[in-house]
Amino acid sequence: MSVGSLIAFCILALVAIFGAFRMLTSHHPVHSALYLVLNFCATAGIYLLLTAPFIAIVQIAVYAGAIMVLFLFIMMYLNLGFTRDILDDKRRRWVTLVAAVLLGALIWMGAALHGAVTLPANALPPPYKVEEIGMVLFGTYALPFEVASILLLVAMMGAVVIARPQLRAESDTKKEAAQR
Amino acid sequence: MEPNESIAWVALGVAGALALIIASALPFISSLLGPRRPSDVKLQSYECGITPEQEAMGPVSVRFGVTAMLFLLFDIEVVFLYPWAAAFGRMGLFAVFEALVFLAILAVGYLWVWKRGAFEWDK
Amino acid sequence: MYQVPDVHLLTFLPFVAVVLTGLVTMVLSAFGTEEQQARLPRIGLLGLAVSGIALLLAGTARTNSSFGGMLNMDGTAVWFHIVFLITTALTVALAADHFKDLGAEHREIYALLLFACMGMMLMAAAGNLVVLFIGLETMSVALYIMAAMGGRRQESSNEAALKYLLLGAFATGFLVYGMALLYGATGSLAVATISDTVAAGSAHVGYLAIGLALLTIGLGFKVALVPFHMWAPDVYEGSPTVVTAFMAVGPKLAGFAAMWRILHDAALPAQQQWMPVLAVLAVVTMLVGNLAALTQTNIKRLLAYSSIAHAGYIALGVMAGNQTGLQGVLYYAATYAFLSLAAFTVVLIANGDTNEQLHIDELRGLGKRAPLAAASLTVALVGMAGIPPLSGFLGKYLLFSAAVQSGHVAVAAIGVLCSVISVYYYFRLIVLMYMQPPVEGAQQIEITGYTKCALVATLVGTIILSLPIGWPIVLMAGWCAV
Repeated sequence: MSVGSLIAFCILALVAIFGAFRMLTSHHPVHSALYLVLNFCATAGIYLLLTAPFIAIVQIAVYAGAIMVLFLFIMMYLNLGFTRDILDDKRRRWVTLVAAVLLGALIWMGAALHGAVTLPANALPPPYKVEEIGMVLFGTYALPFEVASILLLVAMMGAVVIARPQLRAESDTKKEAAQR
Repeated sequence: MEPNESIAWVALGVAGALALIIASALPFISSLLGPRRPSDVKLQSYECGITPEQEAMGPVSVRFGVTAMLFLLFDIEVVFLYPWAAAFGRMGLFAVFEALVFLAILAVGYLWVWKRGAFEWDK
Repeated sequence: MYQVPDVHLLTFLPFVAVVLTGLVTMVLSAFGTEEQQARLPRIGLLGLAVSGIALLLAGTARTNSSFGGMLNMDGTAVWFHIVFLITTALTVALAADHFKDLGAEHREIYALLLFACMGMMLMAAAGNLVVLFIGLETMSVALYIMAAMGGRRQESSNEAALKYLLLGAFATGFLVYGMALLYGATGSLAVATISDTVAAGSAHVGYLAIGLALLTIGLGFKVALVPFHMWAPDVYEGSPTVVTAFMAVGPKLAGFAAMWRILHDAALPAQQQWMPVLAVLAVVTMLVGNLAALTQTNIKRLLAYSSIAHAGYIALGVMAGNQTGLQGVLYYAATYAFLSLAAFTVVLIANGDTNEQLHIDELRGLGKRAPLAAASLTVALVGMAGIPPLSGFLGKYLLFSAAVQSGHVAVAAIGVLCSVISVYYYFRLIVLMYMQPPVEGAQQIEITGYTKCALVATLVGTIILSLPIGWPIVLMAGWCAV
């Protein structure tokens, strides 16, 4: 790793941690969501440093874009209050601490294992350019790619089918209000 | 990695850093330079001249959730097509056929959602 | 570098048939006239039949691998596909009669069932972990949606769907992490390559062990092995009964097919690592499933625990990892599909479409009120208990002897003991049906249309699989298991 990318990594990592921390501690759910966007963007930058541009783009387009919109709309729908202090609850703070320590131990174990691992000789280097990913996706992985469209289709049906009772209830109340 | 490419990455990083700096600096500079003389009327939320009557945060329709969900799904569809576009020149007709099947299946979903009234807001 | 994948249409045709039928039913569910929509179940059944014919054609193809090894249509896959097609067809028939209190919404269930069927078929034929994963997700997402289609009983069904979604997504996380570690250990996601690497001893031992453990946990959730079974009774109880019938059979068997693909096809050389784990899981599952079923008074919870117990029996065959084991798994899959669907069909008849009257007392006097249903349930329960000459006995015989062959005599003995325990709660239901008077005001139940067809089909299926005609089918399963 060159010095330049090391500096870039440190900045991005700090921004990501700051975003994650503020997301947990800020009192307004919408602020939390925006800090999460910051965290996602910094993570995307780290992916770029790892020469994974496609993952970085997906991170921005899907996570920072679409999933964030979903989060915000759900927050508006549920109409969450302004004060919501997860870290003020003493017991929760301990649970969070224990979880953080355990996660740290897990990451450390993974890193220790990684020192011993060498990929088998027959393993191909994974593609990193979007172009190469495209050729693998439409060549080797053509079948799962096509099936992914079915998966998306099923999810689409789910979004509409599950929301329908609620939609109907809403339009009923609207009609009643109009009659009055 | 080829040398040209690494220069491109550096350029991308610089552009991103500049964007971040400018975007965060501008509001800060304006608060530094601009005069602040707050009054009750100025601090009101702006609703095109009408006096605000209630909290902005009220419950909204579940339609927003459905729309966001559908947006997410079609966004993922686009993500799948991005590598296709990038590799298009080096793949044959078969790849076009693959993408067409993928799009056709999702088009069925789009028509279904439309007919089911998920895009209607005035009902 | 780009290579057009080698698509062998013949091996791929069964999937195309199911997907196209799914798309047609989906379009008609929104755009069709009333008349066309009334015909949806028939279109679904037709598509499944076409897929079955295509499956026979696929058996004649000169190769069973397609898409560069992504699909592996060997005997095991074809056998599982037939079971899945039959399961889906029976569920479509049940949905046609028992899903109408949803009004317009019930039409979407046919498309969802067909897409779920395709997902299960992909899991059974997966030659690559990516295919396995995407098949599993298609199946699971369709099931989460179907579990939420509660109609008038929206609250309980929403609760069931939410529990299923959260725990299912959690399990999927384990599964994906396991796949990632398996890739880290062997450098490939293709089942054949993983197997070669593990056999050559060049796989990373630590990653391989953790990866297999996580995969077993993830699939253990899907097939409801104890201790990953907590969701099953609640979800089975809250979902619409038609969906529960499907849930108790299809995804469970597809999970076992996937487990076989991973543990046996990909990681057989590491058998010493996973065999003891699976043995313990199987024993605990059989014990907990059967003991918990003893105290249930809600018919759907009782059948849920019974299905957990059956997962334990099937796990014995996977654990053995030999040819008898696979023969047992295949044969038991077909057996269990018919028995379980028969039981849930009778639940639909006796307890109604909604979840309002699920106490087992509703079965009292069913022998007089609906003789065919009572007879069918009796056959199903006796079969599940594993009493000769019915099909359940043959299946359990194969599974237990596979366990003995692999050196697990004690495990097989516990299996036999559990079967004996299960006789108590299965026969309690039979006693209720024939020796107790009906509840006050209970009327004769007339069984017509699709329900009658489904009931007769499950009965005939069970009889065909039973001794003495069942023996050739056992041999056929052995042939498919090679």
